Amino acid sequence: MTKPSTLEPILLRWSEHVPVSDVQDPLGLSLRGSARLASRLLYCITSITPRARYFSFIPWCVQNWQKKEKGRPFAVGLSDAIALRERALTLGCVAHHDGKPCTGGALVGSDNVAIWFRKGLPDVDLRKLPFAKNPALAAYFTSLVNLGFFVVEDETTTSEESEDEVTQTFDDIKLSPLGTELAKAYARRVGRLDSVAQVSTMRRRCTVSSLSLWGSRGGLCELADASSPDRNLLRDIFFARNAREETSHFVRSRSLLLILHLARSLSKQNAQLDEQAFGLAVYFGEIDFDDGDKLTVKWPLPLLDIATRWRMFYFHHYMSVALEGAFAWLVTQTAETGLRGTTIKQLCGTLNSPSVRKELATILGRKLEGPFGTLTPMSLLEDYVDGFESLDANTSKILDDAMRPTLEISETYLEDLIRARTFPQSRVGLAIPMLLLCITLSRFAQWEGTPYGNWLASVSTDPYVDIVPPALNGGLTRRFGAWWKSSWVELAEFVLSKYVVQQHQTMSYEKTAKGDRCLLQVDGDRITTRPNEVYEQIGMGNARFHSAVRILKDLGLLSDNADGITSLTEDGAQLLDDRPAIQGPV
Amino acid sequence: MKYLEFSSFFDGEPANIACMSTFQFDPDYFERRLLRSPALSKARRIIIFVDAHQWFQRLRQELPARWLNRRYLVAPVQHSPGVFHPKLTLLLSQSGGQVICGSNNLTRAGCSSNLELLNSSPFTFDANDQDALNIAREAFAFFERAAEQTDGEITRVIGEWLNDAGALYPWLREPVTAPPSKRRVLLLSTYNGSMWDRLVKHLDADKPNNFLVISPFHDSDSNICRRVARQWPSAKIELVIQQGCTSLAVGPLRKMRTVRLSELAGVSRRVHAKLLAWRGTKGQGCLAGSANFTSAALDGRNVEASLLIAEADEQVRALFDGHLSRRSIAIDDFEPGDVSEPTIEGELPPLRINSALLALNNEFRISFSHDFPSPPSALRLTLRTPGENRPRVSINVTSKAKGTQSVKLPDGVLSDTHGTLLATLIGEVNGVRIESPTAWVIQESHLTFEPGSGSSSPRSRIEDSGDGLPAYLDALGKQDGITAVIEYLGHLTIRFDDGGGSGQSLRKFRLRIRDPFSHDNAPTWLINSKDKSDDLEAAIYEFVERHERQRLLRHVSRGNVNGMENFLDIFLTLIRLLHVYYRRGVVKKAQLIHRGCRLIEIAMVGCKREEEETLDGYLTSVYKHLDGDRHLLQEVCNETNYLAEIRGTFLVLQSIRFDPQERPKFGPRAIRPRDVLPKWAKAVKSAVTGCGLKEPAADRIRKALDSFEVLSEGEIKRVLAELP
Repeated sequence: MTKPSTLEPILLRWSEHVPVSDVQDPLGLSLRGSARLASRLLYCITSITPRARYFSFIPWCVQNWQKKEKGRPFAVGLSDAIALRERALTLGCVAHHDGKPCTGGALVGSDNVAIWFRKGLPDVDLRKLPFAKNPALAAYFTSLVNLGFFVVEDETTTSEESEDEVTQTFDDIKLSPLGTELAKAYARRVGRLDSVAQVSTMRRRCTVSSLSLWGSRGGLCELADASSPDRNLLRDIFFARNAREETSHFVRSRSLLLILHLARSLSKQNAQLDEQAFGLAVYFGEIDFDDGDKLTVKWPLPLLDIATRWRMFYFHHYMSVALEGAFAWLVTQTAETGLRGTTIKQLCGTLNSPSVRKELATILGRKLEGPFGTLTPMSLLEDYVDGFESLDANTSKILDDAMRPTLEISETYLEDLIRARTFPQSRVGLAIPMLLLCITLSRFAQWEGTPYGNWLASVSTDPYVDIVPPALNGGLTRRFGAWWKSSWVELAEFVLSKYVVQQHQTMSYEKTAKGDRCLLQVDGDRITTRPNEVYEQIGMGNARFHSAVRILKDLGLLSDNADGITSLTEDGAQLLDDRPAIQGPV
Repeated sequence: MKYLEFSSFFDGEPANIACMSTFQFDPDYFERRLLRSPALSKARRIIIFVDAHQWFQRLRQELPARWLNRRYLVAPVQHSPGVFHPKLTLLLSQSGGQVICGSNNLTRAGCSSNLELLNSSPFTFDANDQDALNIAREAFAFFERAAEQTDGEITRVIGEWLNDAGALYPWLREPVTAPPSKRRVLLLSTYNGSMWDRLVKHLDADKPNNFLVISPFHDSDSNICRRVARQWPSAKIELVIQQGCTSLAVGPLRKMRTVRLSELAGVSRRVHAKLLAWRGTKGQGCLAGSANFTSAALDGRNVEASLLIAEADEQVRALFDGHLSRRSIAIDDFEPGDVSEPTIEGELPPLRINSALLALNNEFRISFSHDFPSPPSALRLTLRTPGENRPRVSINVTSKAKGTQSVKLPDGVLSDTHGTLLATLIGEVNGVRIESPTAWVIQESHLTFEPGSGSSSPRSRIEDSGDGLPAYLDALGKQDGITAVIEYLGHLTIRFDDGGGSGQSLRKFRLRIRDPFSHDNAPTWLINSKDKSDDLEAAIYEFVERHERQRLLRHVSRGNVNGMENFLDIFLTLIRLLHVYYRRGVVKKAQLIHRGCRLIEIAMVGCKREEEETLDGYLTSVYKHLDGDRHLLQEVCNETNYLAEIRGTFLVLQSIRFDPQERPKFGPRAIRPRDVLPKWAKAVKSAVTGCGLKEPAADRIRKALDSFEVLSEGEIKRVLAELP
């Protein structure tokens, strides 16, 4: 510290405050829970990498740049070179589809390119073509690395003497044999096109019609075409036919097979494969349709393991909906109290109000024996388990069998209530999340300490901030012992205090150093928020599911019929029956 | 007026000692915001004085705190009948310091959302600003008084720290000689009696005719307000309130003609500032700090700290210079808040830990109280780390009503812990199990941060010096499994630095596959991964050999004395890695001895590279490069504790190698550890004497052995007894 000769005192200054900025994932349950689980279950398929063609196109870009440009006077860097080729592909696809992007969407930069296309110009300077701010490379690159398309650090020979180490740049990346094979396969499809040749010249100009040909061969939806040389290779990759042991590639493969299996079962009933159906199938093992029909899902033995892991994912999901629902309700209720604020005690005290009792009785279709807040989860569970004394693996299983998705007390029903627009203002806005939380944990109890429960627990790498059902159950048990015997008010006070308010404050510092992603302020026991504050984005769901389905469609394993029902293609059916990579490690 | 961020007060140089006081304390906020500031992140010692009653209430909430009582000490202050309410900070650093006295608690709301009033009095030693130094003296005296109101063990620790500070900054304990009337700013605290009495004396001199009061809390009977009106009947009193928030009884005010209300226009933040300002015919001034406009605060029932500022008119006016303005409000239009002034709220937990301290030699001292009508039939102390659901230690303690007890923890029971430790007391009363709120164990040996022992992240620290490698491997193993540990060791290379500047290479562009695949093991990762321990063993040997070749032998060939610290960092990292995993049964004994002795050779006398020439050891190589300048070599060895570290390592190897039952094939039978590995013992001795150096003293070797961190006190004593 420099030593100023005089230091003036600072007297009577108002304190600055940290303004609140945009808040997403307020409790970190998505980023630190479901995203980690999903990355294990659908490794290398993220919510922003839904198109399989990019997985061969980008390696081709690298190879094409290395062969045609690198070292030449007009060459641009690899990153810019890929972006140029991406522009060409996007315009090619849009041109091929008469001004529209590829079926299934996610053609990066297509909006701007489609506007340009409508001008009807005959040729294009690719350098000047308006494009997306974030090219596909940014989204797909990590997945490509993890899939083994590039030579990674431990495969490069390092010098014994570190003084000889060469500093690598992005331009120095090398394709692995697998990446090279993919690049070659894509090149076989488009390599001889005039537009492809032009993209790596100094002028970077070509005709729109020649790009249209590129789109017709190397576009996103055109991968499903059996004549695409990269299609089978990508199938092998996504289904881990070349994978080494002990990796998540096998897990992804099984997840994709699980989706194929469910698609087959659903299409037989002319039902749509969607995220909700998938969730119900893995969590409850049954899907109830609006018309009263029911599909009981029986997973083949080899898929039972992956289905159970997805079930763990949904335990976390329902827990997240409960906690985020409580958060959303708390924010709204607190906002209504203005600067005066409220306390957790006051908020939880509402559980004892007659209106909560009355409304819950209507929702649950049962009479409550006293104010809801004074009752216990046990009094609820007793209705489903004869002689219920203790929540253990046995009673949890009985409960699991008894609580089917059609019941008003089931997780799916409670989730719907929480997702309703009026929920944050609802009088039962705390009771419903608490019910959902306790039902979820009670159903999960049978998995505590089992390999699947441990697998879910291992997602929690930081005991201070990572909340997953086993961690929450552990916290409740540490605090209350047999927590199901504690009153709803006691439980709610603890859950709101530790897992909602405190967790939200802690997470705000995980996101930014200033902690500005925070909607709640706590002063002593008093909580305040900004006037009219609301939080509505409850539960992030299964963001990778849609990408997985899209990739299966791109690979020609699933397709939609005229009614929009997704079913297996012949190839899909054959692949499912062959069940590749099931033998991989669990 | 520009608003000021509270955290900006902590942008200065690292504090030698930071004493901070607050009514409420939020460790999560403190650790994530203030503890990362330049002044505190490398502060040598940090004490947070907090109201004990409030703290016990907070303990019930299972706060997330990673460094509490390990990096900074929380000292609950027991004060009655009022509360411990000051918001005073004293920072003392190398070239100066700062006294911060405001209205804000060390909570997120207090430091980043409420509207608070902040004051700071900085000073440097060379400026000799006696006004500022006097405030620092008063603050130091304040904290010495506060320390007396803490629990026994905490009082002892703080007492030692404050004595150290007193010795380092002797002027702190010199009396304040300047009379109050000659000072512009004074620190008033209720430890020195009623603030009201001193205010009256001061105010009488100023002959006040206008008062401005900002306070979130007032007496329920407007006691102080009425007192002011009685004392200076012609003075006008303006109370600045906040609708729905300020706790103020309007009934008594209606009878007081000199009182009027105003509010801050357009303020959407909770006003928590406390200010009593006045203007008079003979002077003006203000009182700003923690004291509310209540009798509890001003009469001295609470512990409060505020600054009494003379000639403050300009600053008071500046508070309302455009950003904020006041507007009058009729008493009948005022809606008071329902939050009452801070008092001792709620009951204390019936069973509570006043302090729990882990001393150096695995001795655990616990101080506790309980309010049970009859003594509990059993009382157990349990210890766990934050991630553990069940305690790892459970020990019976005496079930007295209030007591302090020392217990000896089993050897090695905490050797694998590298963070906070949590203690809970469990009592059984009439067959009912009652738990105390969890308390953070004071880890005394970790609380003093020595310069150079910290870095921004564990990974960068390891890459820099190897420091913290075993702990990081544990965390990594816990998180990603043993495969990740093996992979990490395979890729880790500790930085080479011999002072020549070539070690500062650019960060490489890296491509790595990251596979989140996880086994179904419970997070006790190593126990359940025995099948992988062979791979781990191989990875450790590969790591050691690679660093031998690429780092240590490179140091040997260069013989640069400036590289001694880096050589030692790497040497110790390798030795400790081998040693930790030997204790865990992963590294074989023969391998530890063989590799350890080879490392000793490289450090001291020399070794033979496979199929290559024989090399000097690092010490002899440096000696040659210095052309025999033994004084310089001794100086650097002393600075780095080089010889003691090598000697300590060798003693550990000898103690492990020694087997009293062994019948040697050659030579005499070893009677005690110092008899084994004679070839290396001789080599170490000859290297030291050959370079004309002095053997390290026992206390230096002791320090080296302490830094192994896994050796118990008994083991260290046994090892030291083998000194030649």
